[in-house]
Amino acid sequence: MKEREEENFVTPGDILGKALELKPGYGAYFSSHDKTIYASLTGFRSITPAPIDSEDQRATVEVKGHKAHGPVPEPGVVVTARVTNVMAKMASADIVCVGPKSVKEKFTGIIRQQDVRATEIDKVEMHSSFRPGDIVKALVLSLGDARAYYLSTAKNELGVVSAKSAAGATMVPLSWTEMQCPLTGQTEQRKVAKIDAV
Amino acid sequence: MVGLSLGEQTFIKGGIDQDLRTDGRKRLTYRPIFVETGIIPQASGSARVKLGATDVIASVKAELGKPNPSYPDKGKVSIYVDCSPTAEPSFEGRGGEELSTELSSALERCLLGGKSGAGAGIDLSSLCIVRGKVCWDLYIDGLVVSSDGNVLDALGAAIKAALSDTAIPKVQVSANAPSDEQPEVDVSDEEFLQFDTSGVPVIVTLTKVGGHYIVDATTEEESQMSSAVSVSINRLGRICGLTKRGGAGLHPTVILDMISAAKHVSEQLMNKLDSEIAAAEACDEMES
Amino acid sequence: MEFVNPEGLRLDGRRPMEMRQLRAEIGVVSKADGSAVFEMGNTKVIAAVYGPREVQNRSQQSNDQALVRCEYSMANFSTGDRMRKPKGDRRSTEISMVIRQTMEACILTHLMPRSQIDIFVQVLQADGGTRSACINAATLALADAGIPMTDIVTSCSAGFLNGTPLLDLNYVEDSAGGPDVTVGILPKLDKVTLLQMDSKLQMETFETVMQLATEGCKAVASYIREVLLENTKQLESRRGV
Repeated sequence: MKEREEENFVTPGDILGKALELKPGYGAYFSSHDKTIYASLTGFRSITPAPIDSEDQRATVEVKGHKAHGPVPEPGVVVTARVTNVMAKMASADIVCVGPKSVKEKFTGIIRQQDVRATEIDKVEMHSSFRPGDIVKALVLSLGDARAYYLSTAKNELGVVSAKSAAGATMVPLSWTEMQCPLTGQTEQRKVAKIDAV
Repeated sequence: MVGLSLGEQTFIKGGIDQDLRTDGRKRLTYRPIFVETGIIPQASGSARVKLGATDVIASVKAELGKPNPSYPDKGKVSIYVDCSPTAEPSFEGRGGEELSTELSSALERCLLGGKSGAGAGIDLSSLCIVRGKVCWDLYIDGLVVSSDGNVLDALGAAIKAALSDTAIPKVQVSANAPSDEQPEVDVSDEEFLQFDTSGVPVIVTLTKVGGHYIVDATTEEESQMSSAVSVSINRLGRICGLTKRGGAGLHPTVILDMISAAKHVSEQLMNKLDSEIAAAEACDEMES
Repeated sequence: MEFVNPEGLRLDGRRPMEMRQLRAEIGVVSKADGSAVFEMGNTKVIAAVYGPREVQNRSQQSNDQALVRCEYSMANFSTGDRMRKPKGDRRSTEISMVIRQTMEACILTHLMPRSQIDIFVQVLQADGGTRSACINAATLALADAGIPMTDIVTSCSAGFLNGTPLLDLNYVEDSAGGPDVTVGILPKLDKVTLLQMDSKLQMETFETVMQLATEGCKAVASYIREVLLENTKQLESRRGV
């Protein structure tokens, strides 16, 4: 244990290896003027060999620190957001979690009409898909414009995961378009996410 | 801050109702207090107090000055609090000014008494050197380094500790100076007088959340409060100052109840603080 | 006034090439993403890093890299004579800008687009070399926050008095009117990121003094590396690894 710690402990700027032999992973970066991989975080270095069928046979070197900086939404990541405002052509939501980690400070995202679902995208009614206060799971499409990230719920497992009915109770999902209030029995329209049964 | 979800808010309120707060404390228990004195060598006295994650530093500087003409036999004390942006990003630039002014005036009210200096926790007449001509000006500076709720109590404790650590140099006044000119004073480098802090009060803030009040609230708990009452009480159990914050109205009996709870808590706090200060000073002497 | 006595000792008993005692602690402000205290002799500085987080001022947002902001403030009681105004004066603004530019050069900002990194530096005690202590504290705080950097930045100052180059000036030596060279380097990549000097110096003497300051920076770098290793080991043992 001791040798592992001392030898493999790196701080930013430490040389991890040559670019010919290694690929930079998380916590490492490639410097083009001398073709070397340097560390960018403080922590322990670990080397993972490349998968056998990939064309680039270089191993990946990573630096695992004790604290990763707060998560930032990136394209392709599933985020959890709370809907704040629903308008005719789009809904805005505050991103609360990126993947499994919660953020330190919220980011703003918008779900446009054409990104709510995969079929019949021009016939989407925003008010029948989301209401303010709903918790949704969405995919980050892109960094969007200056104001907000672009989010999409156009998959089966994306959409509303938790919502409160008009009466104030947490609703139970019935289908991918409806949820029911347990107190009053009334159904409300939402774009519901299909969560795998535990 | 992302903001507390409904579930988290209910959890905090429910915990307080059942006398079991989120960090396991009872309603009237303080977080562990950590006191360090003499941390600023160039000040006359200084202290650092950590109350959980709340971290404040207080320093006392004594300088020679002229007394206020209306009160010729009293010294002057001024309190100034600065909120460092290290505690909250929103404090950068002038963002922390509002909170700084609020804390400074609350502390002045609790420690300095009325305009004439009557009833002050600090005995101003002990700061007078030559009546009407020369007196000590005490500048008390507070700095909030890290804030996790209950900053006022921490500052009160830090000021009390800094004052206990304060050593005012002995002054020799030249006897043969003409009476209408500024007398010459010789400030001694060797001999010091320890400041008398037996009359300095501590501040206890009671925060009302839901139907109960708690002592030493964290930032999360403070976000749920409806109102707060800060009472400054001295060793004799006398109230030296009172501030109520928050918009919600309180029934007068509730306020009286809160004051008596504050008195009860203040005894324990005062004893704990005195023992911590004594330990810190002993530590200080061992090192120097 | 004599700053180096005939035996070769300075006013505080150090040798000309000797640095003051260094002391650092990581993680002092638990609420911040990263924080550190750095002491060089009697100069004591706290740095706190908040970020990456969403940009507060939309007009300054950049689509391809993170925005780095810095604020330098001195406590009222930090200098011998009590200061009236802790922030907003010109010296604070200048030092804030210097620290920001120095740290921005070494942070991999393109990895965190459309976000903001705030570095707040608070001086608790000032006894010369505050600029350097601030940069060293900021480096530790950034490393504690896990923000990716190309290398750590370390800084040290050096001067020239009584015909001798002196390393790590304190306040008395700094206000003597002699030259004060502050150097900031990236130790592993061996590059200079910050170079400031006031007063005047001969060209050859300048090279010697700058070389001395650079040596000081490297000494600080090895100390910082030790502190980071110690801190990581402590955290790992607390996690039960």
